[in-house]
Amino acid sequence: MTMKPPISRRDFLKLLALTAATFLSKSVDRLLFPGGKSHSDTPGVIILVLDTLSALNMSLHGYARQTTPNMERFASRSNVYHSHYSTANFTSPGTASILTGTHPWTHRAFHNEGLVSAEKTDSNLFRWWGDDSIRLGYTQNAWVDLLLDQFSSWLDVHLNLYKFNLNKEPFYRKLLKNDFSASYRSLDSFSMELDPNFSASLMSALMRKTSFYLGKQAADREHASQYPMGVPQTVNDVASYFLLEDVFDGLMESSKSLPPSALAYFHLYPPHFPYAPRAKFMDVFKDGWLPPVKPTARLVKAGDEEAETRIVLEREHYDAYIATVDEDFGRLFDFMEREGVLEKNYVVLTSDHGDIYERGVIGHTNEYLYEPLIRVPLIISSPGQTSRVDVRTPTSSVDLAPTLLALTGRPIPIACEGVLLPGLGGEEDAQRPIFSMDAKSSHVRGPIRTATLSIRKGQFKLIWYFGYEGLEDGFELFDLENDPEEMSNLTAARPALFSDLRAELDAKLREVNAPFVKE
Amino acid sequence: MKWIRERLPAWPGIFPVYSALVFWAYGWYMLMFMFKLPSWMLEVTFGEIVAYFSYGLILVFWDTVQMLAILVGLSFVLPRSWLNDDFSVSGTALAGLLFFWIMFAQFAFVGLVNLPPSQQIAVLVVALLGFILAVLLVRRFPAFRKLAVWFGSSAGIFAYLYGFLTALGVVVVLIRNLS
Ligand SMILES: [Zn+2]
Repeated sequence: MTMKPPISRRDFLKLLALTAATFLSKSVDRLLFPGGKSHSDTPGVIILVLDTLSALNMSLHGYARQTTPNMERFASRSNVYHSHYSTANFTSPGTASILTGTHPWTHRAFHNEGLVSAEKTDSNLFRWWGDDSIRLGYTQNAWVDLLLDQFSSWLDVHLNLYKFNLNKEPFYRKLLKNDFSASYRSLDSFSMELDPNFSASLMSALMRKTSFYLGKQAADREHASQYPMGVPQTVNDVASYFLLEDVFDGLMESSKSLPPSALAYFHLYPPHFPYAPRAKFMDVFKDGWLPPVKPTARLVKAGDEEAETRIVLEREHYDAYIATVDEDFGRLFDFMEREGVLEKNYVVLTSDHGDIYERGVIGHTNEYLYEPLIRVPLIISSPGQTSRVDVRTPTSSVDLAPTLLALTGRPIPIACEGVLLPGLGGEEDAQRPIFSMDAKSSHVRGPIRTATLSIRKGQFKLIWYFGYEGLEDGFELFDLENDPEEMSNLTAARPALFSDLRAELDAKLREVNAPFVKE
Repeated sequence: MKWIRERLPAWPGIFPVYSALVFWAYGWYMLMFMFKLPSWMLEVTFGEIVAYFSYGLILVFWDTVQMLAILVGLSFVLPRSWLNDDFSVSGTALAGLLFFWIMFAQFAFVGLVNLPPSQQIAVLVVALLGFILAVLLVRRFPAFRKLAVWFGSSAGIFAYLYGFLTALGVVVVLIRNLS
């Protein structure tokens, strides 16, 4: 048996800060972390993830509509990564890659509501950050909260998902927080699911639906002049609705009161569907602008394409919602600049995946890895930075964790699959392969048999569809430099290149499946 | 108090009704669970699935209590001889109808919440008329009555079976939350 060491001064200070934070966190107008922390000589890190923000819909990255003027202001004093890829096309795997520095085939959170595999949960940014400064996590997205819950042993402060919402956390959530993941999956997202016509529970689901809709309707009416399409909300599972300004106010207060050298992870829901643009942006993008017409996506059956009129309208709403979020981001940016937050921290703006409005497809609940779905913003402002650095070499979301650890003087764990980002300790390497994957239908604890995989290398990108029932396996090869809209498939025109990339992708799949294939 | 005691159906009358509610509510839950199972099996361990199942069992138990409260509440509203004195039989018929109405309310939910209040009241009145009609059918036609009696007594086995499963579910949930 070993004796527990007596509590150190550092631990004591941390405990003090935490206790105070716990009591005070109810009120956002008070300090979250009085007492402060040691380790004050290195900068902290604030990561802001805006869910479902496609780089292709941002004027910062050349989009035709002026959706992100405020993010452009932030970019003017930051490193901007123009070819930054998420490892996946939806929340669970995309977020898990940011937080673990690994690909979906490694962390295995590639299903809806996915979890990082049990033997990998101790490989995460919060643990690697170390316990000598505060680590905070907050999200509005329940699927991200499942991941934060998995990492909760290494989080000093895990802000409640409902913290900045208009509606309150239901009582059973508080009761069951020791078993958040199972109870959430069983109750919130299955038995009492709000979306389907029939829930597994009869009465409780009906009550939950009623209370959500009545509450939301009242909020919509109250804020109709500001949010004509209804106040922002999450989709079905946690049934929350909120005002964007409240959430950003909360972020401001939280970021200001962070002690030195802290790591804060904020993952907001907007601009994820359902779109709730502010009134002032409702008509801004009714400009008649249309993207080029593209071939129908590979897995869409004839007759199942979304109507073009709907695609155009949804894209317009998405753009307006991005502009709404950008407006609030502008307030946050000004606040951080004014309050010196930018001087004390690396501030990161990124997303977990994008959204698509073309090829007969809407949203991101699909199997595609086209650019709008996986290319996301990555903007990193360093303390003292005054000018913009543009990086066009492809980078991956697995690069973020190792880069932030290295920037703050921490060792890069072997488990990380990413490399240091160019301009922040790393070199540009145009020939480095960047991978993304969607494998919702594959077994989490078995080899990946049904999936879409992509590799970006240099100016080319190969997408591989395999194992889909009733559909032939297939490939799409694009030259993104000369065909950024991914219009023409070059598999026939560039056989040698196709064969090389295909071999590389195939080798990668064999490698990642190897631990699951019985000899 | 005396009025409440007089109006409250006796336990032997309540049990077949509760059994019928258990049959519908748990039966539906089991069906939905079976549909969901394959996607969970792709991902989580057997132990986790047992936990998910347990939470659902407890929730459905709570559902059956709420549904029973509605039927007992109805016996305070409808004429005493209609439901109160004949709770075990009429109540069993109403249990099926209640299941149907709840399913309807879930299915047509968005339409219903967006109706003007006067029409929402009309829907409630129609639902109540449905209950009255069911009671009348059971009272007037021996075949319906026989069916309700048979159903209420046969469903008893489900009350015991799911009662036992739910008790196990409570143990699972307690262990997971208190450990
Ligand atoms: Zn997401």
